[in-house]
Amino acid sequence: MTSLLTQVEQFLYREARLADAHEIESWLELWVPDEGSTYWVAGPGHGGPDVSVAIVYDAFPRLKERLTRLTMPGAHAQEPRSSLCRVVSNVEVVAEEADEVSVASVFALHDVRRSERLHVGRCEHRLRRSADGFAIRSKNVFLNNRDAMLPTLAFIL
Amino acid sequence: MTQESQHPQVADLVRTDKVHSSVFTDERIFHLELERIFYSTWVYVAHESEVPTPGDYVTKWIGLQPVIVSRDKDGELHVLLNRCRHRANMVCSMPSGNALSFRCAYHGWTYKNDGSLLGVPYPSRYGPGFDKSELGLSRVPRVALRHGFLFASMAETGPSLEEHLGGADEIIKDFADSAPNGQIQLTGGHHAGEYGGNWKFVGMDGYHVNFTHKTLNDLAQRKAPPGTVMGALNSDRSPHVSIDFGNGHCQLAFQAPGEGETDQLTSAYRGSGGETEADAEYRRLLEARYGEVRARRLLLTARDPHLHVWPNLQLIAGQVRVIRPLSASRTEVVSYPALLGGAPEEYNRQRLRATEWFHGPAGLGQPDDYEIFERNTIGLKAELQPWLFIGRGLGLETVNEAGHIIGQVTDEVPQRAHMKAWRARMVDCASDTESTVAPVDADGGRS
Repeated sequence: MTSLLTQVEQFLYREARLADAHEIESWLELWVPDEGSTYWVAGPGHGGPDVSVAIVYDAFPRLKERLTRLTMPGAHAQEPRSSLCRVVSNVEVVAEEADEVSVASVFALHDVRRSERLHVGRCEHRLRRSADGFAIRSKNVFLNNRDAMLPTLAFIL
Repeated sequence: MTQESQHPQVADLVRTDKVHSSVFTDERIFHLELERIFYSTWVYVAHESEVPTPGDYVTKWIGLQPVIVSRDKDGELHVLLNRCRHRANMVCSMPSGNALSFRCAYHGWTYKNDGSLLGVPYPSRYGPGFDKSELGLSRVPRVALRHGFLFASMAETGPSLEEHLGGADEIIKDFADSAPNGQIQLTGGHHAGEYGGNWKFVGMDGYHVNFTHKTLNDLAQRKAPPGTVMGALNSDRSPHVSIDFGNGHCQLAFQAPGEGETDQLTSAYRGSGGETEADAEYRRLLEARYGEVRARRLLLTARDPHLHVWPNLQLIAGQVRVIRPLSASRTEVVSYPALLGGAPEEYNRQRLRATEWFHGPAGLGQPDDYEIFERNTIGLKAELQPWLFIGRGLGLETVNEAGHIIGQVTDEVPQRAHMKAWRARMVDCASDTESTVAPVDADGGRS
C-alpha cells in the first residue's frame, strides 16, 4: 500500500514534469475543471486577492484561456519557449479530509531563454481525491522574490 | 553621432521623422537624460493615497536618486533625498511605513519626518560652528500636488506644474474624478517588472496592438459572433485618435467609440464582455454625481485614459504606471491598479482582475510588450542604418483649437511628441516652453 505522502509526491512530480514540458492541455487535465477551482500566484505585499492585485488570480476557465494563448502563434514572449526544469521538494500533507488533501511544497525552477533565471517559491495545493488519484482544486504560489522586480513569467509556475 | 570625448551632439540625433539608435543605447546620453530630463523637469513621484495619514512615508526614486515621500504631523507632504547629511547613508530602508523620525543606522543621526535634523549622538565633539539647522535632509526644490498626484522637480525655477502639464491636466482630473468620491486609491498592490531595454520604449503606441498582441485578438475572435473583425479599432480604419499635448504628453484617445465598441474594450481587458452588476452600480453612482454626459466620459477614462505624462507617468487601463530608468538598456516599470474610492467593492475587485488579465509578468499582454522591448535592444545593435523611422501619419495631422496635434490612432504622433520634448530638454534644458506643439521642420528646427 503506497502511503498518502508518496501518492501526493508522485502527483506533484507529474504536474511539474508536464509544466516543464509546456504540456498545457495535459496539465489542465489535472484540474477539477470548473469555476470553483482557483489558481493564485500572489503579487507583492500581504493582501489577499480581494484587496490586492495578484500576478495571476484565475478561476479555472480564465486560467484555461490564459494558458491556451501561450499555445497560439504570436505569443512572442515564448517564441522560442523557455527551457524549464524544476525541483519540487519539502512536500508535506498539512490537512487530510474525506475528499480533499491540503499539501505544502517548495519549488526551484530553472528557466533558460535569452538569459538564465531561477524562480523559487512555495506552493499550496488542495487536491481532490478522484477515481484515478487526485485533481487540483486550488493551487497557490508564493514566489520568494514577489516583492522585488519580476521578470516575465509566461509559463506555468 | 560624433566621437567627441565630451557629449554626443544630441541635436543631431532627432529629426522630424527619425531618431538615431544611440538615443536608446548610449550610456553617455542616458546620463545626460538624467541631468536634463529627470533632474530638471517635473517628474511624478507618488500618489497622496500612498501616504494618507500623518507620519506615513514611502520610499521612491527620482531618476537614480532615492527619495522619501513623507507626511508630517501637520499633514504637509515632503520629498526628501534619502541620504544622511553626515556620510551619505540611506536613512530609510523600508518601502513604506509610519514614523515620526528617521534614524541613520550608521552613526545615529536622527531627522524628523519633515527632514529637519533632530540630533546627533555625542555632540560635544563637534565644534561651535556645528549648525543643526543647516543639516536637514536635502529637500527636492519644488514639489506640487495635482489631483492627488505628487510631482517634484530638482530645478529651483522653471514652469509651474500646471504649465508643464498643459492639456494633459484635464485627463488626469478626469481619472481622479472617475472615483465616485473623487479619490483614487493606490492601495491595491502593484506589479513591478523589469526589462532589458531603454526607458523610452514605454510609450503610447496604437500601431503595435494587432501584431505584438495578435494572440489576444485571436483569442477574442474564438468567442466573438461570426462576422466580427477583431482589431479593427487598432487599424487605420479606427475612429480613435492620437494626441500630442506638447511637452511630451500624449494620449491615445478612445473617447468616441461607436456602437458596441465599449464592450470590446471591456472584453479586451477583462476576458468577458458586457456590463456586470457592479459596472452598472458604478455607472449609476457616476451619473448621479456628474450627469449622464460627463459620466460617459469618465467611464471611458476610468477604464483606460491611455495618457502619457512625460517623462515617467502613464495612466493606462485603470492603472498608474511609473517608468524608472536604470540604465540605457535596463528599465523598471511599476504599475498600481487605481482603485476608485466610493465605488462598489465588487467593482474594485473586478478592476484588480482586469489588471491581471493583460498586465503583470504573467499577463496576456505585458510579456509580449517586454519581449518586443528586449528584441528592440538587440536590433538596435545592428547599426549599419542607424535611424529609426517615426514618420507614420506625418503631414496628415490636424491641430485643434487648443493647439494640440491630432492624428489617427495608429499614427506615430506620440513617438514624435516624445522625441520633440526629448530634443527640447536635451538641447536646451532651460525651458519647458521650448517644447511646444509647433511642428519642427526637416532640419529639426522650429518652423
